[in-house]
Parts: sequence; structure tokens; C-alpha cells
Amino acid sequence: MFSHLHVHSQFSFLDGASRVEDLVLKAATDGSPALAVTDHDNVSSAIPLAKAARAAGIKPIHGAEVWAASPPEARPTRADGPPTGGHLTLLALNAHGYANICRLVSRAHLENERLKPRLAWDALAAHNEDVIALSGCRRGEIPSLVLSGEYDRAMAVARRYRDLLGPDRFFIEVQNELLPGTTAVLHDLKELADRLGLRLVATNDVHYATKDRFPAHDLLTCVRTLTKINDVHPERRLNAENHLKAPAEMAALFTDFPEALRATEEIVERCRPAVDLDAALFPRYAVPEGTTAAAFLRQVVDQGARWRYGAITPAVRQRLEHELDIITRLGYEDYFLLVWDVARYARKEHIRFAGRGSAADSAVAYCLGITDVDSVRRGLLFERFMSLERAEKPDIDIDFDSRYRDRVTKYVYDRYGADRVAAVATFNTFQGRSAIRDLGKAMDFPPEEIDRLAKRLPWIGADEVEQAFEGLPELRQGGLLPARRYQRLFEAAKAVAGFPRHLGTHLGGLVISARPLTEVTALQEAAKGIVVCQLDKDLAEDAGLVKLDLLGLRTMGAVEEAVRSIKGSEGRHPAPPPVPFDYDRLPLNDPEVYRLLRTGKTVGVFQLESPAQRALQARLGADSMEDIVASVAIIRPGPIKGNMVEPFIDRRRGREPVTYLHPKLKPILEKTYGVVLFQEQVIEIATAVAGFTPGEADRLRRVMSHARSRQEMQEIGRLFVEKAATKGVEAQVAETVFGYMAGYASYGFCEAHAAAFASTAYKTAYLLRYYPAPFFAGILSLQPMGYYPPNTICVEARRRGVAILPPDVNQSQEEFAVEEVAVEEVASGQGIRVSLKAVKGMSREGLDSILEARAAGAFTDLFDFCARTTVDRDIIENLIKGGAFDALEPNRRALLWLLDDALARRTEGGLLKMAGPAVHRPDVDDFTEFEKIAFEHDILGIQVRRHYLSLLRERLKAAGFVTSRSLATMARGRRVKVAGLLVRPHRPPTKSGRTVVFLSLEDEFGLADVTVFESVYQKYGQYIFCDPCPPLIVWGKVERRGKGVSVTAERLAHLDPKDLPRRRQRPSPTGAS
Amino acid sequence: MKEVLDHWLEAGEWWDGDGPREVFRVVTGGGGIFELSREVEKDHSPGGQAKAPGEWRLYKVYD
Repeated sequence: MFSHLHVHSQFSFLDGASRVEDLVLKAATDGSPALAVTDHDNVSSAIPLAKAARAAGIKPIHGAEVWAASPPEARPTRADGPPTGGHLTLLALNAHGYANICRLVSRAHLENERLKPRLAWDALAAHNEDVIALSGCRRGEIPSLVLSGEYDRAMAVARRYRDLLGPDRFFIEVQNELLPGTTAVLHDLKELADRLGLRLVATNDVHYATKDRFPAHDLLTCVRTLTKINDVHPERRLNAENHLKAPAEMAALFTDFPEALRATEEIVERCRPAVDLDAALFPRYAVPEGTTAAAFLRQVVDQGARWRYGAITPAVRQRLEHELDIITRLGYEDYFLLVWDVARYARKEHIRFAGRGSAADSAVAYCLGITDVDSVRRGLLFERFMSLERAEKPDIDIDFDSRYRDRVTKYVYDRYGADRVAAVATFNTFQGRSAIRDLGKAMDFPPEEIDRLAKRLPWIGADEVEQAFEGLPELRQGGLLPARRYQRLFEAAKAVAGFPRHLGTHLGGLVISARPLTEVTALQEAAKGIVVCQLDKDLAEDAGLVKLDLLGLRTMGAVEEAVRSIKGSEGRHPAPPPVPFDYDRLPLNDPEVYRLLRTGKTVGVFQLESPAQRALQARLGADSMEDIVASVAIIRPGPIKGNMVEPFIDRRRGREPVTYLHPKLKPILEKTYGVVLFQEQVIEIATAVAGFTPGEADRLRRVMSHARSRQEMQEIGRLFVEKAATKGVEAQVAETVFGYMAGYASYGFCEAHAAAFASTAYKTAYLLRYYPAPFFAGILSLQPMGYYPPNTICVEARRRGVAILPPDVNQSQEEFAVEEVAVEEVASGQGIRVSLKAVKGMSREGLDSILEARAAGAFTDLFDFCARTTVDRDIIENLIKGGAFDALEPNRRALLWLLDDALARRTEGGLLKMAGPAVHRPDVDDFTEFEKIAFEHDILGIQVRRHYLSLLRERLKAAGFVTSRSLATMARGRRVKVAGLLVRPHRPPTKSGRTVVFLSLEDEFGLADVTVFESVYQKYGQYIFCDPCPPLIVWGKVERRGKGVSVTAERLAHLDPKDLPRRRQRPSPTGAS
Repeated sequence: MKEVLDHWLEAGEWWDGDGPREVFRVVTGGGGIFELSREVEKDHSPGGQAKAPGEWRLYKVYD
């Protein structure tokens, strides 16, 4: 029976319109015994093909289609001209052949310009063992030469391939795609094959599984070639015949060449499994001579335990033995040593880091210094991270100071070898916005229309766009044309939803292999010269590779900057803590820190600064690390959708008794007051209540962690209720319990991860409480980071009595820095000087030039600055507008007038021309206050002098507006109107599925938090989600919960100062108006 | 018509609602070369073959 041997899946980016799984299913349904997938210069399909084929009961054949250069002897004699060659289809006879194909694809990528892979003849000559080559589609060198009448050259090329590979490994590929010239080409290729003693093989150059996918493929081709749908392009297919035709259809097309069909059967018969789905490719750690990895790990853990605990108690010893036993039985000693080594390197280089994720369940990881969570003290179970039953590969994630993460990555490459380490890929897929942009362009919609539509879409899948258009007011009422105009665009978006557009780099994910990676997958160059493998994180795990996530977290950098500043000014902090400062050994029970958290004023605190978190802190009454761990875990879609938040708060505060639907839930949920907060609790419930086996629990965990289908969750639900019944649990109780679990599914944190994050959350709260100036300076230096934009951070800093000092060419450093300020001006005696880097457009060269020149002496004026630095004109203009010269000359407009003159003198030899005309300050009015604030906001992202709303405050007050500060004292239910700059509007998922928008309004005093429920959102949503968004007015009612206050919106509008009462004129001293 | 020189399928401007067509390049007794086409009924089933009713049209004339 015929099998397809030339097939493109979604991994032929923008040229394959069907997924591997759909292709396999079609082939199996049609009765084919095998299917090959041969993507363009890519082997990403290898694992999904192996899995899908195994499930469907057909044989997978792995391969790729490459662009191969002409054999040297067969090239045209003209030395100039474009490189000659064409497509070549490669198929693996076995694992060795597959490894060779990976090498060939890697060389094609790495030896050529990025995104232009070309396979050189000598590469094919070196790595063709156990590889079959087919001469390719119409874009193969031999068929295209035949098509253009260059028959002799076609023969020469074919002869070289035959001589290299032999007639049993090189075939002449023929297709009957019902295109012009097909019949003639078929006969010519047959003649060529006969003359050279080669065989024909029939393929269909498949690009989609079924005919109805042709429009999707045509559109993908338009996107790829930047062609409009009404235009022709040679790569656009003339007809819809490149689908996975059934064997009977193929037989009908090749009645004149039955041998070409038989050849596919022979090739299929010869191919053996090439990809091992059960491989383990862990790297070995180079332990000292005379010891083993297990013994060395034990030794290092012992040392670490003494460092962490001082004296090792029996409980700690027992726990460590238990973990080491599991680690060695699973064979993961080398992995732990590898990660320990990376952490050790970072520590040695003073690169701040923190382990995250379920690794925090491990006491071994704690003793190795990888994580910062004492899992023994917290009662965290190691089995949640690793267990003998699951036998899953460990996966440890570490957050590094983002500035130095690449240094750590380089260390790993150097240590293990560049051929065994590569970045993990990520497949950038069509989502709502990208689909609308790319397809809208291809379908020839006006660019500005597509831009408006795309910008207003929330971050949704491409298959949800049509629904969004009907459901979201900012799309319905946003000035966009009626939906029917975009009907075909929506359908096209749905057709390509989730398809990969290109291969990118996973931020921080590295695979490390015991064997050269090109035995497992192909490598290519991604952006910034990073070598990436063609596996994403899931495929890497399936391939048996070990992965390490070296992530960059700007919070680590902000902390590092703060710590450096604090240590550098020891003894000069206004209100230091009661114990000497050591960030790595902070006391975790400082009551002042918890008092701060309870105010809900936690802007800047890691994980606890969002409006939802601030509202929670104001109600929860946190007084221990457990409360912070719970806080980190509870403001997540899982607990919110599962309706856990309110019961948790009430029970924690003792306002509601803690009850359990079933006694078996008590030991599991006691720690969290009867509420499901952690992923681990869901698994424990499944085991305790329904007796799930480890395998069933593992399936539940996978469904939860990978956000798999609702259908699968429902199936698990039925199993849960059935099994619970056999354990004597009533159906209604079981259904309710599973309802909690299902609502939680896929969005929850694991407890260890929450604990790891809670540690950093507490410590940043500590910094905020005792060292607000250095802490905020660190956050501002590491922007963009955190939840809020820099201006909001500055408003908060001011609220805490820290001044924001304008940029200054003589005072500003590279980063934001703390300066002492007269106590008469600012109660804390501290201010944060805006950095030079914060100035829009500031270049590295410009920065260095300023710092170097200034080291020789302060700048005296603009001319002196221009003479002594090489800063570009645009940057100097920004420095002026941003206020960096105010201390030398407050009139910014005058300076701009002088700038060209100052620069002209610079170009005349860098010295002021002594004989030139004297420089006079032009007599021009300076910019208005409003203009200066606008410049600062545009150039620095910060309104330094004063907040924009402070200019309007008098008029706002006259019009009855309240401030964010005054809201704090207002009674619940009072109707107010408040205005501010819109900050971070967002729509988290809710249990009911109805939309609720949370946003903050920033004024000069702080933030006013606003909640917009569905009905109000439907009427006024267009005022929230817009780009750009003017300041917003909210009319609503005050809501109070605990110490927190917010406004529930009833009406929204944009603020227009023209609508405010005019400022009252003060009477002139002379009486004239 | 003396001989069919070539025969192929075209998808047509599917985005404007066009259906697929079958095209025959033929040579007549007088030596003229023409392309004749006929609409193929759109088959919406996933793997379906083109069905072939439809009236004949003169598609192209070669000078």
C-alpha cells in the first residue's frame, strides 16, 4: 500500500497548513502503513510524529527537505550568478540516518546566513550514511532543470547524486499535481531515471492533510512571501492538489508509472525506528577522581546542610537521606550537581539569584544553595518535586539578576561544550493580534484599519477574535467598521489559530545533553547569535533531554542595586531596622514588615503590589510567612475561579468556622483553613478521597499544569466521582469537591513555588519598610519591571517622603541613585536622582562621554557640555527638555535656541572660538509648566517637577473631584468622582465568566483602585482600552473592605480640562482685572 | 480539435467565491492553440475529488 514520503507539517513555518497529528490521522484512516514528515530545514516534527504514529499504529519516517547546492562538477561554468541547487528530500533509514539528517540540517543553518539555510555538497558527502535522498518537488534541482529544458545538466546532477549515494539510496521523485507541464515532466524524468539506472518514487509534495485546508495554505504563503491575495507569486500554488491523497487517488494518478508507487512500499519497508521516545540523555558531572557522582553529591549536601542548619538534627538527616535515596535511584545525581555548580558559580561572581518552582520542595536543593526555602521547616513534601512513581525528569528554574544572566549561560556552554548545550526553542504562534495583522495585510485591508483593530484586541487566541468583536465594547463601539466586513478575516484567523509562524528562543531555557545534540535534533541560529535547538521545552523533555531554566528576573537586579546602595551608605539611613542589615539572613518575623503589609500600601513589593494583592493585604491581616505564602498563591485565576478567596480571608480572620466537606480533607487543607490553595493539595485530595493511583494522579497533574482540554478534565471528574463512591463518599460531596479542584485546574501555584516567591516578597517588603529610597532607586534603575510604570513608582516614593530629584548633567549617575536632601525639604532626608540612562535615546557612547568629561570637572554651561562631550544632538535636546540643564540654566527654551550654536562651536575644533561673537542668552519665554511636565513624561517616563494632575487640582476640586488620598477616609457607599492617569487596566478570568476590569487611577497623591463590573464595562469599556489613553474620570461608589478602599465604577469618561471650571482670577493689587 | 497538449487544474480566486476549474490546452486542425476551461463543482468534503460538470469556456488564445 502506498505511503506519502514528502510531507510538510506546521513546522514548515508558513508553508504547512496541517498539524502532524492530523496528517498522521489522515494517513492511518486512508490505510497507509507509514507516513514521512519532511519539513523545510527542520526536524521539530520528529517527536510528535513518533508519538502520533505510535498511537495510530503506523510507521513514522523521519526526514527533512533541504535546499542542496549543486554538485561541484555539475555547476554551470559561469563563475558569477546566483548559487545553483534546489530542494532535496531526505529520509532516515534508522537512528543513525536520523542523526545524520540532524547534522545536515544543522550545517545548512549554521554555515550560512541566518534564515537562509543551504546544504553544501561536501556536507552531504560527509553525512549521508543511512540516509535516502529523493530528487525533490518542482523546486528540486533536477526537475527544475528538466522544466527549463536543460536536460543535459539535469542528467549530470542526477549522475553525481547516484554516484554519491548509490541507486538504492537516491530516487527520482515524481509528482502528478495536475499543473501545467506535469505530463511532459513526468515522462522526461522517467527517461532520465531509466538512462541512469535510477528508480522513480511517487510523492505528492503534501502541504496540508485535506483539500479544505488549501485556502489556509494559500494565505500562509501570502504571509510568508508578503504577497497580497489578489497578486500572483511563483510560490502560490495554482491548485488545491497538494493534500494527503488516499492511496487509491495516488494510484489513479500514476497508472502509467506503477513502479513509482511500489518504490514507496520498498522504502517504507527498509526504514526502521529512528527516534527513541524513552531515551535518557543526562549529562555527566565531572566529579573528582576516585569518587562517584552519588558520593560526591552526598558530600556536598552534607557541607551545605552544616552551612544552612549549623547542627544537623535527626529530622534533617532523615529527610536528606530520603531525598538522596530517591535521587540516586532515579539516576539524577549528575543533574543536581550540575545545578549546584551553576549556583556556585553565580554566588562566586556575586550574581544574585533565587531558585523557584517545585525545586523548593527539596531539602537537598536548599542545602546545595539552589533554593532559599527550608522545605523541612515548612513541611513541604519532596515527592511533589520528584517521586519514584512518577520518575519524571527534574526541572529546576532559577531567577538570576537579569543583567548577568547571559554570563551564567556562557558558563554552562563553556563547562559542557557548545555541541552539547543549546537554547531551547519556542514556537511563536498565531494569536489574535498577530493573525489579524498578518492576514489582514495579506487580504489587502488598509493598514491603518488593521492597526486599529489589532491594538484593541486583548491578548486572545486567533480563534477567539470573532467572539471578541461581538462581546467587547472597545471593539463594538471603538469606531471600527461593522463586523461583517471582517468576516473572511475572522475565518482565516480561526483557520491558522495556534499555528507556528517561526521559531524563536525560549528565554533562559537550556538543554544539556550527554551526547552531541545533533544526534537528537538540529541546531540553528536564532536572533542575537544564540544557537537554538529545534525543540521547545515540551519536546525537549519528550526527547529525553535535561533542561535547566536560567531566567532573568529584574527584581534580583533591583535588590542587588538596593543592597549595594544600603551597604555603601551604612549608618546614614533615616530609620534603619533594629538588626544589622544582611539581605541573605533577614529575620523573617519582623513585626514592622507585617504592619506595612497590612496597610495594603505595597507598591514595589515583589508579587504583592497589584491592586488585587494590595486589597488582599489590607484585609488578610498577615503576621507570618505562611500568610505571605498564601497571598502569593491565592491571587491567581485558580483560586479566584474556584471561589476560594473570600472563604480563605474570613476563615483566616476567624470570622467563619473552618469546615471540611469530608473528614479526609482535614489533614490536607488544615494549613490553608480548609481552602484549596496549592496544586499539591488537589493531587492529595484525589488520592485521599478517590484513591487515585499515582498514574491517575499524575494525569490529573499534567492536565492541571498544561491547561489541557476542559473535556479531559471532565473525564477525570467522572473517574473521581466513580472512584470516590467505591470509598464510601457520597456522589454530591464528591462532585462538589471535584468542582473546587476543576475550578482550580491549570492556574494554581505549587506550594514550593509560592514559598520561594514569598521569601523574595518578604525581603522586598523589608527593604521597602526600612530603606525605601535605595529600594525604589533599584526598581527605577531596572525598568521595565514590576507591575507599575516608573511614574507610579515615583508617586509612591514621594508619598513615603522620598524626593524625586530631576536629572542633572552634573549630578546624575548612570543609574538612579540616592542622594541626601535637606530635612527641611523632605522629611526622610533622602531623594532619588533621576539617572542619565532614563533619558530617552541615551546611548552607551553618550553616557560614557558625559561621565568621562565630568570626571575632569563639572560642566559650567551648555557650551562647555557640548565642547567636552560627544553626545548626539538628539540626546542633548532630550537632556534639555528633560530638565538636566535646569540647575545651570532654568530656561529650557532658551537653551534649545542656543543648541545649534553650541554644537557648531564643538565641530569647530571642540573649543569655543575666542574670536567669535559673545553668547547671549536669548530673550524668550520659557515653556509653560504643563509643557515641561509633558516633556519630562515623554523623555523620562516620569513627571519630575510635579504631577500633571496637580496643575488641575484647584479646578478639579472646584468641580467636586476627590483625590486618591481623601478616598481613604470616606464612608462606604458614598458617591464620588475621581480623576487620574490610567494605570494597568486588566481583565482577570472570573468564575462566572463575566468580565470585571480592575484598574488604578494615579494622581499626585497615589493610586485610586477602581473596579468595573460587566454592565458598566459594556457601556464604557472603550474609555479604558484605548491607545493612547487620556486621563480618566470615574464616577462611582466607595467600597471598603478591611483597610482597603476602592471605587466601584458607575460611569467613565475621558478627562478634558476644557470641561473643568476656569481658575478663579486673583484680583490684581491695582484693582484691575 | 486535433490534440490535447496539456491539462491541469486551477483553484481560481477562491477568496472572491470562484470555484476551481479544469483547463485544457489544445491545438486545432488549423494550427491554433487555445486554452479551454470549465468550472469544476466545488467539493467541500475534506478529501473529495473535483467533480466535473460545467460549461466550456474559451480561456486563452495563443497568437
